[in-house]
Amino acid sequence: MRPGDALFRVIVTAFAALIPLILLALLAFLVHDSWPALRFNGIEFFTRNAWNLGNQYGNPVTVRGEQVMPGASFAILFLIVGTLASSLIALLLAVPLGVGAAVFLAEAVPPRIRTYASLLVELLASVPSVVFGLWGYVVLIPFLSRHVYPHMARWLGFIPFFGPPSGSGYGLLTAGIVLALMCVPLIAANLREAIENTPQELREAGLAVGATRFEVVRKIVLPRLRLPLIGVSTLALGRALGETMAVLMISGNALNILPQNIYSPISTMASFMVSQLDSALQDPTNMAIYGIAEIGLALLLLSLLVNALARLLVPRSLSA
Amino acid sequence: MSDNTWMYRRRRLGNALALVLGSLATLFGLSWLAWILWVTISKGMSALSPALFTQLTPPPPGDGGGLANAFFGSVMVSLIALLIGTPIGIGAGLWLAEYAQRRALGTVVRFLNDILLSAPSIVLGLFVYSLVVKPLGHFSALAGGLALALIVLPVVVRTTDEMLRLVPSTMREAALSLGVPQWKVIVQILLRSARAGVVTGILLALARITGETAPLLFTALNNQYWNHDLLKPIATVPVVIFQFAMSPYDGWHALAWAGALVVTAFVLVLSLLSRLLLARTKVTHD
Repeated sequence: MRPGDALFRVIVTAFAALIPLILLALLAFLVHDSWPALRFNGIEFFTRNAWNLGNQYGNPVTVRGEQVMPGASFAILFLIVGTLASSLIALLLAVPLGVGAAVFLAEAVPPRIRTYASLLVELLASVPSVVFGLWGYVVLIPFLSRHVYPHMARWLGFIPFFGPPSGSGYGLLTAGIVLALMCVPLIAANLREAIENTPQELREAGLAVGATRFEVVRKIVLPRLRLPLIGVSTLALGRALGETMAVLMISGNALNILPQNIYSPISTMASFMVSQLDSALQDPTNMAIYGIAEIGLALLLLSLLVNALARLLVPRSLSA
Repeated sequence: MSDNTWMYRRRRLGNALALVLGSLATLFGLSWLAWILWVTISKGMSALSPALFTQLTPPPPGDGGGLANAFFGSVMVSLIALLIGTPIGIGAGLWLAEYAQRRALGTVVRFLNDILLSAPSIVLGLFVYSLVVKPLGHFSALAGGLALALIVLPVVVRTTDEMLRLVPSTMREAALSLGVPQWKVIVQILLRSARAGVVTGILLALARITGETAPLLFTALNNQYWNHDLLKPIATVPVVIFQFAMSPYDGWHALAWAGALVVTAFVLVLSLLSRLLLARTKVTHD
């Protein structure tokens, strides 16, 4: 090998090696930063609702070998419930919409317009999350809390968790709706591509035996896409789990309470990390910062799990 | 009416119904986009003025002023991110496409890159917080750029890898048979012919970091004043939008909408541009 080639190869290999190294460092730093919190909190971190910085004017006490302020405790069951509930609501809303849009775009729109029509749907994905949050905060929440939620609470109250009180508009369902808006383009774009990649012969065979267009989609195209659909939905779930700003601005930032119905305020792990940063930096023992690192670690592991699963299910060419 | 006709009509009806539902789903999705854009434009336009780009963010109660320092900060932070993320990303993408094509190691690195691509940005912010902000003892523009670089990197790796793999292998073979060193083949021939695709990746990455807010709250933080010291906290447009939106002042709200309009327009243009570029030229052979 020529020296120039060898040098070039070493350089690009080093760059490529950075990818696994960054992931490793990410895990290592988060574990290191959250180590005191892991020791102090134990398993109760996930099973109780008690995020409490303790008496900030007291003298630090030593508990389980760690310095904390008196009365401090860190447990995030309410964040886990809020994160999972809002993401699942988002998926429940986004999957049917995304599938409908993908089928329509791929099957019913003439190819000439299709590129532009799907472009429009996908543009929704590039609106920054803080703009979603701003719109949700200023426009959507007043609208929902005045014109939608009270009626839902009255007429759908027989369904569990749908009854009154209909709340202020900041809460679980609002977060779910906005997260769904962020997931629909992702699902629609990936699924449309998969539908278009269905072999033309299969479609023609279906039409030749007299199936209608929709029957071809439902009985031939969609059954082949079951696995990609699950994969794309999982990918969307991963995205919803880690979404921060929009949720922070519209979820009501509940502290230490579980949602009573779908209108209740919640917090998610990602949004809580931002909303608590300021006060955590004031903790003289730093335990609150270690606690935030522990939330980050838990969120990272959750999203690694979900995304690894998604990538194994989606053929690589699809997951944009 | 015979059974057959009835069945036929039912199937036709099912077909029409599915079509209607599909178009409604699409229209429903698009109507939200229209709603968000309409609100952003109508509220942003009224606050749009030359002062937006020439004056500093005003102190509360926020009358007058602009977002000049935030725009400057966003440009600086994005530049740092691109300067760090792009070369490394192109290099790693080259390795994946040219040296690890059919190797297990390549598959693993590709998978890990996809994982990095979908890691929550807030966690990346937290990582840079403990990597840079804590040792330095203060928030800084540099830390913000580094956090965004971690978002740029996997996007660029992925597009570079995919675009290079689209280049026909006959081009590699032709060049190598002429005795051109491999690194020259890669840099001067393959990378050049995949140029449009690689640029698309960079544009997509830029679009992605332009609206990013959460990691910046952990790294670059915010700054009310003009700052060009990269080791000090710096204002960025998304963070200022967030801060102003959550405030009780009307002047700040107006500026938040104006900022949202500019950022959204910029991101939409970027992603439109990159998609058109991608659709037109998969790989060019010049």
